[in-house]
Amino acid sequence: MATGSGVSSTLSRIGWTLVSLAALAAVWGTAAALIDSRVLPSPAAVLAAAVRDSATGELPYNVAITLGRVVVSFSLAMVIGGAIGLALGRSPRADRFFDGWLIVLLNIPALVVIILCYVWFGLTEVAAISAVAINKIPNVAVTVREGARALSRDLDEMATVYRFSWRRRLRHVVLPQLAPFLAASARSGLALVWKIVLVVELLGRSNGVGFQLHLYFQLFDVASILAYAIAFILVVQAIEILILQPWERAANRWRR
Amino acid sequence: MSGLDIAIDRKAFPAVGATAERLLYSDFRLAVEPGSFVALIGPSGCGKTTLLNMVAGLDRDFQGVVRTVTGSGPGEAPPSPRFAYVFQNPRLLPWRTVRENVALALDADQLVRGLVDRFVDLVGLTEAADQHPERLSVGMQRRAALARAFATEPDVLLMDEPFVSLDEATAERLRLLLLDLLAVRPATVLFVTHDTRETVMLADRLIEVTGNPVSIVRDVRIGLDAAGRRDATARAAVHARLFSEGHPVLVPVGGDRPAGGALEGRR
Repeated sequence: MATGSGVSSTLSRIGWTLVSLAALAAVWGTAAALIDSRVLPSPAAVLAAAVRDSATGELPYNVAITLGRVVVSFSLAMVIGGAIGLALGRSPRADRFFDGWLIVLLNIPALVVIILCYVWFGLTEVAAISAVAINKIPNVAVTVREGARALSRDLDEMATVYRFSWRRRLRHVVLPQLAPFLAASARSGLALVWKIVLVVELLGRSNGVGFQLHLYFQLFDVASILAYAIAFILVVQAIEILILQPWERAANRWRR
Repeated sequence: MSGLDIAIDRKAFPAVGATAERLLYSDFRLAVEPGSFVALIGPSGCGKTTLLNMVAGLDRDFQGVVRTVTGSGPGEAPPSPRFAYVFQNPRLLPWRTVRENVALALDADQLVRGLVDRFVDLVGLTEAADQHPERLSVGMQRRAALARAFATEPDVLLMDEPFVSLDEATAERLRLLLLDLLAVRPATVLFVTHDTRETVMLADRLIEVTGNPVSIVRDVRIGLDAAGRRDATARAAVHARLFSEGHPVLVPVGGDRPAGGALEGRR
């Protein structure tokens, strides 16, 4: 973990990331200048598109809408998937029975879930959020199940002797043991969920980043498409660095 | 205060694969008087920990009954006696501080009465109260486990080799601490150990068992008073009497079974 790594190594890591991203932008800029086509706009053109849509408020509005959907469906998937994983990890009988269901769910293409949700529940917000959550729930369940299988029996007995209520047991005994597994599925979950949200918006919503991408695709406006994509990458990275990583560090503070 | 009336008709570990079923207990009876300190000593792996687990209600897969027996003292009839268990490993929550570990085992009333700080202070962990267990020495972790057990104000305290794998000086300090804690907060204690000197120092009564299935081969009173327990010479004399060659076998405990009164089923 990053506890003992010190400020200088953190700075050096950030420095390397900046250098690497600058190099990527340089390669992109050179390629765009050589090809000189509307299908590969220069970094400056993308920046201009981003500034233009930010000035009208369109970009921040749609990013916020999409972010809202990400947060709701991500939270739903973590809570429901975590509960299912915990139950399966604790009960070998339930695990044997539902393992087949999980395998089916894990292998249904995201697009099929989205289409089915829209067909069954209509082109609604509930259908959109559900479709994203259902796509993520089996992944969370499988990861958390591994953690639940390894829960300490010693601590469980201690909690029984000292008459812990189920809430106290969950919060102080079970969840801290599951924290690394929850963190792992939160990491991979965030990356997966926001990509699926864009598809859901493209297929059945009239706002959000996915809807905007659809719009600019029809106009063949690649600069705007890249502007929205980069804006959202920045938002997701900010969540990762400002929320997920500090939370993970706090959860691991007790380790020697 | 509560005593224990233990009657295990049958307890076996079921056969697993090529390993045959193993019978641990068959018609085992043990009565522990309220307020007494009983040490259970015997070969490793014979099932002493299993007995504690059955008494604590952690292992319910046996035939028989463990009852708590209420003492005859006035006003002593806890509706549901409290058990505390000091395990071989401290079993602290590593992600909670010492203070939090103690507090989590208590009910709201005990928290209000300030029992967390009282017992954390009594075991000498005042300075370390806000540390996480893994940053403490093993001896300090065991102190924390003792603080937790006593802060819950147990009627019955079960202890499973709580001072094993410590250096002798640390173990000795912890034994003295246990005597101090019992003076502050008396409890009925059922204590499993391999250490005969520890038994002489701490226990009122020694139960020696053999395994397959567990049966009592010796049941003797030790009878050191508070001063004698802290006196190395007195302890050595008792130890020599009890554990020298040709020690007295099966000296029955004179007919002072726990005072009748209300019998309470625990399960």
